[in-house]
Amino acid sequence: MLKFAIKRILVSVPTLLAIITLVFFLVHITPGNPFDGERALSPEALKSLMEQYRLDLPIWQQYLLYLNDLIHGNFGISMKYLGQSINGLLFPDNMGGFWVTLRISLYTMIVAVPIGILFGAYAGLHKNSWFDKIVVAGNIFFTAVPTMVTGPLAVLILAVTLRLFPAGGWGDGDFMHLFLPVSVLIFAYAPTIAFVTRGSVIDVLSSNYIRTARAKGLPTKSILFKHAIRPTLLPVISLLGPMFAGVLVGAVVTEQIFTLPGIGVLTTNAATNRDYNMIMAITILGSTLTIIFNIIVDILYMVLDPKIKQ
Amino acid sequence: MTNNKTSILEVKNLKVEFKVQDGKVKAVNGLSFKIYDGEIVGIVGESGSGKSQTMLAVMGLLAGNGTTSGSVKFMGNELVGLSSSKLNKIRGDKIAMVFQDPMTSLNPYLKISSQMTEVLILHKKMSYKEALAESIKMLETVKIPDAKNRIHLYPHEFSGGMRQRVMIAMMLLTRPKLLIADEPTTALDVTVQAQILELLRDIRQEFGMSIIFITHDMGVVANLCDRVNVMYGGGLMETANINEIFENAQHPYTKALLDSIPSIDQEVDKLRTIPGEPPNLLQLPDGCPFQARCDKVSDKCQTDIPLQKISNRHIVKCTLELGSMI
Amino acid sequence: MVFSTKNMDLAAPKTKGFWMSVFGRLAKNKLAMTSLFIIVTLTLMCIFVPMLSSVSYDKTDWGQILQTPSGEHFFGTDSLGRDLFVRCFIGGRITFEIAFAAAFVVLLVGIFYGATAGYVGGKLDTIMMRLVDVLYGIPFLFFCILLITLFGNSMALSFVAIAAISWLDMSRIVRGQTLSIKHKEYVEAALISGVSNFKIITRHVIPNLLGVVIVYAALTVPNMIVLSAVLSFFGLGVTEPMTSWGLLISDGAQNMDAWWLLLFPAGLMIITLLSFAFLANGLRDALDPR
Repeated sequence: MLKFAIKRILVSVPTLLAIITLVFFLVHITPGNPFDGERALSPEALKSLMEQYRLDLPIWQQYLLYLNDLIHGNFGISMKYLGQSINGLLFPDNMGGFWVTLRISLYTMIVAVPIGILFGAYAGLHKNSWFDKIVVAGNIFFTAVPTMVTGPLAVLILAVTLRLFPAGGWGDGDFMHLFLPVSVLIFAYAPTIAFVTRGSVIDVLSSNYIRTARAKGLPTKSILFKHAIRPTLLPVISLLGPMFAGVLVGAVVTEQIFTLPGIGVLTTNAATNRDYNMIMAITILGSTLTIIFNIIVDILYMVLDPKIKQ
Repeated sequence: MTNNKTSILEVKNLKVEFKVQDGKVKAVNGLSFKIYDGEIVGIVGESGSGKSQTMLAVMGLLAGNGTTSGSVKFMGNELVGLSSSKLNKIRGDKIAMVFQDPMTSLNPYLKISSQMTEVLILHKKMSYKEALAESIKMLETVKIPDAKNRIHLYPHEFSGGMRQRVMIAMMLLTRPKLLIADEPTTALDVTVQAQILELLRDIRQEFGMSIIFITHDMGVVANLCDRVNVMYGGGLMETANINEIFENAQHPYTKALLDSIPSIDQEVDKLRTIPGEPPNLLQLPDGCPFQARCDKVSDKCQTDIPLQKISNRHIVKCTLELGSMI
Repeated sequence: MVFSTKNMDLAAPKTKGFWMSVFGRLAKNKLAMTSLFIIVTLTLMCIFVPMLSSVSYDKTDWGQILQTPSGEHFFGTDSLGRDLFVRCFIGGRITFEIAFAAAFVVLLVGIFYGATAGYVGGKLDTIMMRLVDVLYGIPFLFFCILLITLFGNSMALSFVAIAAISWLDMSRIVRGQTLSIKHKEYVEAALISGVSNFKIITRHVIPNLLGVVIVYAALTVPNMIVLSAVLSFFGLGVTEPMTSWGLLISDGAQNMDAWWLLLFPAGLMIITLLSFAFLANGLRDALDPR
């Protein structure tokens, strides 16, 4: 198992390297330099800026130095907040940046995964019941309609009209401030988890080996919790890897709706100010997390599926 | 050889229906038969004849949209309508069932040891240790080499034939009175098939149980069974002892089935097949389900078909005058 | 997404009769037909409402600021006194234009890429699919934002950027289908009897991909609508005074006291997205009956 894990991690190193390379060269080969827009820069000032950002060096040197920085966990310097390190902006000492995004994502998954699995399992066990129909319909609605529509509507109804919650802002990260953004995210992801679980439950329960278990006279409890639970959870687990990465991105969008001080603000500022270094950093951070989640899920999958063990 | 024994399974007027989008599939239509102590009975018919569904209904294992009516008495106890907790005391203990596809019928996520011992722990209240020892013994009985170590493997680490042996061993653990084998050899290659049949014969000798053997292969029946039930369109067409069937079959469908067995004794240019298709179970005709494909069909076939007794153990459901078609 | 096309066996030979029965089944599906009707109606309205309306979408009227919906302004007016009804449909027009164009590019690139990888196979296939794996590792939205910042914020470029990275799923599906078609007996027979590759691709591979492509197209268009709308939330994509549904919703979200500014564009978008979802579902069922 350790061997599998190490192998799996080693395989993803080239993938990450390829992504970094792609992003880096995409940014640096595009004509124009980021300071074109800044007016009234004296040639001396421009020269010192170019030096500070290593833009005077040949591109391959820039690339290797950037890689070296990344290996040391350093994302370089922001191009908007001149001279500020990106690490300081992404991972501030107080609550903000990545910490906000991560917290929202974690809260979302902590609630969405068990609720999705429980609802889905119940729906699958009671196929065609009204509960099942609600789960199926909920899935259709919430996979079709994104948070950027449901979010503002939730604010309009629950915050502005009914005044149950604040309309936005971080507060001090308290329950009332986080309730709406996290709920919107939960509604975006839990229905998919429920739907996949439901399908998996239906598949597994109609499988031949469950029929064998019933033929052996096993009580329902042991059929469900001993024979059915593992195969039911496998498709759900392989869904969770990409989903976790998706929730991080979803959280960034939700931050925009609820004006939370996370990666979302940094992204918007970077996009409007052409802060390439920042966008690169965010993209690479996102890719790294995506890859890490996929590794975790693969290892978990392997632990649960005896067929992959050799 | 099985005369004057007590019956252990008595099926009376069994009906199995499945609700589907376009109506009701009538898989079994008023089927009645008996199984006696210690005999091996073959149930023969094409796919869709209702043979598997009959047995699943007996076990209470129909798919969710299926309903059973009629009566199934096992050792005097009515099984139809029994709650699943009461049924669970009987199935896996007194009645066991081996399924067609050994590749998918064992749980791929659990070790063989876990799947076998749970039966004994549940029905015989054994400890895990006792159950494990008993399971290893049973694996040895069905000739699994190195059973002591291999019991701790997962199903995918066994070949198809070995898996079916494991399956049979698992079902024999409780020494059931009745073993239902639903085409247990269909998915296996011919040499393995022969080994499994031999195994079943040995087991009957050793454990003295009754076996219901579902198959579409008359050749297998000739090899193994004491008696045969021929099914078509969810109903019984003919039942007789094995020699009687091969020497004195009466029903046109039985004859057609027999004609489709390849034989080395006779020289035939061409194997006979039965023309036409199995009946549509959504819309069965009145009377005999076989009428559309029968070469002896007459007007009488659309009315109620009489049961005709040739002897005590030879019954035919047909309108023809018996003996007239030999 | 949940409307998976993975398990469809669409690689069987297709005949005229097959497509007739597909249309027959689709026509019987009330939900799908209603959805199709809604999509067509909305599309027509997006074309004609701004064209026939007496006020222009960018006509500001300081005497008519933030009017509630009325007979004169069906959807009310915004903070610059512009008519929201007209703006909703001109925004819909832009949204549909971006979405359909992006979806078209996605399908084209996806089919070409996937079919080439699947049909040629071997090393090329490995390399091409490895690249797809790498691109899958990049969070879609961030990459999109990166591309737009790099190449400038214009509508044309934003849709190119969207399309450039959305073809991954399509290419994987097409590759899988192509592989399975390639190994069907009738294609192998054609190959053995010396039919040219080109003919096999045009005669067998492409017609058999049609089913998958149609379903996937019905899924891609709404995805593109959502993505282009999300970009509006980051200040990218369409810019004022032109508008899109995303921009209208984003404006409405900042102007909650005027509820109609949010409710109408959000409602239109929900109706559109659900219609596409039901249509895609219906198409899949019609193509792959069980």
